[in-house]
Amino acid sequence: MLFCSQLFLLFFVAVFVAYWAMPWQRARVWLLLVASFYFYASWSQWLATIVCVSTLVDYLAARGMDADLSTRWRRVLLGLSLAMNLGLLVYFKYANFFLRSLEDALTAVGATASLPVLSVILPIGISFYTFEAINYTVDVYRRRIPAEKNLAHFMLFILFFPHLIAGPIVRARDFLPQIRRRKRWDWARMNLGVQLFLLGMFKKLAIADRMAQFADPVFSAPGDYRTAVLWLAMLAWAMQVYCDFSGYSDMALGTAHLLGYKLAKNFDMPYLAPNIADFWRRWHISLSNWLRDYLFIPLGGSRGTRWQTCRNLMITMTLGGLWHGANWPYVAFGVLQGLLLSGHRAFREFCQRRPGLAAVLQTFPGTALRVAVTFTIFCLTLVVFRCPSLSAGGTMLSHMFTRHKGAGLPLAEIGLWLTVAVVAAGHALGYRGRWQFVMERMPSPARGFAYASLLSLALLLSPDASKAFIYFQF
Amino acid sequence: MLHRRLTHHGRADVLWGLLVFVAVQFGLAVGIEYGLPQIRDPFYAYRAASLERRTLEAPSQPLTAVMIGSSRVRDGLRSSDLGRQLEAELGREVVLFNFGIPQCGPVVSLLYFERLCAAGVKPDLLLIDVVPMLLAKRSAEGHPSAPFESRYPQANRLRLDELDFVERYGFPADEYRKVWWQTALAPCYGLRFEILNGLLPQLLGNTMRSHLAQASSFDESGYMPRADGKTTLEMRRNAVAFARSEFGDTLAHFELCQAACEAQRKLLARCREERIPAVLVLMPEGEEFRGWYTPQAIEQLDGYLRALLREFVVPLVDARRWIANEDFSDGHHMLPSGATVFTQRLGRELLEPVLALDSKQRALYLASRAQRDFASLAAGDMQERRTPRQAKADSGGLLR
Repeated sequence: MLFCSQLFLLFFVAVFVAYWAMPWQRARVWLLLVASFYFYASWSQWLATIVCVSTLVDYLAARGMDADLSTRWRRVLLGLSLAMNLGLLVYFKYANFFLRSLEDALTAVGATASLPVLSVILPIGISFYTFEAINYTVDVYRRRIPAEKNLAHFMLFILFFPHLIAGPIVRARDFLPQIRRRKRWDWARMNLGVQLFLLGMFKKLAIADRMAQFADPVFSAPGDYRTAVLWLAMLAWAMQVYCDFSGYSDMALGTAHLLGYKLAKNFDMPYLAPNIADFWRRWHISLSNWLRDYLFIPLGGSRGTRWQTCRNLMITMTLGGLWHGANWPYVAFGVLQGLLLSGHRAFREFCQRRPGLAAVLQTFPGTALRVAVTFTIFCLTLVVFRCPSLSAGGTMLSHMFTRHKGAGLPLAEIGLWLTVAVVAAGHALGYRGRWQFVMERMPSPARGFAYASLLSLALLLSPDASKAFIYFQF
Repeated sequence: MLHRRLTHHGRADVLWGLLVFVAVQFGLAVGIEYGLPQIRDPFYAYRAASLERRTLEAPSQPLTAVMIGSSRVRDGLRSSDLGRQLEAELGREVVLFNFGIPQCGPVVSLLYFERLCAAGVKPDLLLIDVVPMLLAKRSAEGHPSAPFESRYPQANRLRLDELDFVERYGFPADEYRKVWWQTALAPCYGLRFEILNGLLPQLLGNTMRSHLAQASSFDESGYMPRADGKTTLEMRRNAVAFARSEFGDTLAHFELCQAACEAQRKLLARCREERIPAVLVLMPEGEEFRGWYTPQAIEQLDGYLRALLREFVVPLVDARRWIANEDFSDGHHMLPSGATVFTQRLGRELLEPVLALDSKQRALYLASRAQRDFASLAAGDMQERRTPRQAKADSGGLLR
């Protein structure tokens, strides 16, 4: 059930009407819980049951940790919860990857090995709700939040359908208090929800799915296309992945607002970031924050020596890459991000010793240059991320930097440039809240016209068949 | 105070947004229905406009022959070449118009005929494409009483009042109404490809773009010239395999669809009412394609055609064996070389003698020819035994 499908719209309208028609908060929680279970079960009832069972175990473990138990028992319960969550994640997502890699390694050293391949279906969104469950149990263990006593509330925190499949990764301390709070119909909030949903829908249908028509054929056979086309396909892919994921996040935030909940912002115009560290503060913010709080800082963060910080960055980003999926290109993407972040730290220290250079880089042309360099470098790492194998990524990158003959773009180039212009205009409008400034001064009919235009354009430009959201697979 | 302002704005914004969206969709729907027919049914609208321009708006009343039918007609009748040739031979203005539209079977042909009549187009001769598989039932897809042509997504081509029309001929009502209402309530989604094709076709995907481009890519006589000489053996083999996947099963388990047959009967009846002489044409098919018919299928078809000829006294041009295999792109769509052969022979054997006569003599000639064709069909020798190669050699080289 994709957010921009007719089926989801029918489902959501039914839930929305029933939800606001109910005067009782407890009934609303149960309604959302049932709706969320139905939403996930529409993919697989079996996997929905597994999510419920693991959520129940986390609930019990957290209740145990919150009771007056000894530190040792609390550790045991935390270990049990982490082992179950990570165990499910590893089994469903990484088992075959590790088995395959082990087999390849054994073959490489001359041993003949035939390890079994597990026949498992990857539960969609497993990486997202696993991280949510972990942040809850760890926070309870650290006594940062109390364990939730109401099972329905806790299950809704994990299963809430707007964020269940592809985030944002919500924090228990942000979300659980919202469940307890009584919701009142609020037009301002509805307005915000509608705005976000329409914006997300436009990003997904009019930009991401459209850009996929340029990127997909080229990435499936990069050797067949000429050098300039490979660069354009990289640009199309950068637009696609950003608008697909941020579009999904906007729709998730929008639907949550329409039900009276607030989810964390997941994107903040990352392609305007002047450096890679800032980029990761703007891209998939909920994951970056999670990795920072539950991995980077526990590893020592940036408190140690320069080399320790680099090591921590490398570990964090490599695991962040692996989080996307069991595939070597994702690992390589993570390693590259770690290297870029380490390189950025070194460059920052280099600039600190040269105030003249730092001042030049802070000027408008200097900032524009930094944005362009950051964007280009990130796009190049996205090529590795997208290609099915490291060798395919290597081939594409090598063809991008050498003169290579081949086919032209699969579609008319004007479509690509128009879309890039729309994304650039969107960024220009969104920069430093210009959009809000303009919107607040417009009369309601003009704002209504803007909403209607956004929806009409999203529908008009949607391709033949909408593609699933890219981050569903993660 | 701030919250009250935000609440007030929020309500107004959402309601205005809804109102404007509904108004835009309504405006689009009305505009498309009454002012922009090329958005709803570009395949019909562009051709009809061209035909009307050449007939109704012509200073002198030209002699008009229209061939209505499927993509087989679209690819096979080189109407402009033959039209010019007929003009030279008959010494008067002749409009021979190719009204071949992809996926157009007997029901949609009838519908288009009614639209043309309503627009005032009344040809002096109507050639009707008889596509055997479009007379079959859509049994393989769980619609045993629906005609085969109803499998094609044509609901968005129809007007509201035409939904009842196609439903009378067995088109699946729910399926069609659902799609149609989607196009009417949210045209910017339901008719998005057609709208984009009109505004900025570069934004369409390749397949949709080339499909919709066909709607308006034709010469003044409705023929769409295709690039010749680009069909390799492998391309043809793949195209034939695709055609087999599309029609092979239907022809192997051929069952005449009563609704489709009824539509064809109705078309002939309407021609009689409008006093428009009609001729049925079985378009050429490649040897391999003809091999997909079972003897039972041929028997059913012959029986149906015999009954049709007896009832309406119309001639039947059986062109199934006129063209050599290599002149088809996929076993039933003619390449330009095949179209030349077919058009020339059709001109020589039918159009020249028929159009040279005045209307009274034309009716008599067609009636006598219909009797001859019926007798041939009844005797079972309708299918000429000449090989396609001989047929090609016979057709000479008047058309290039």
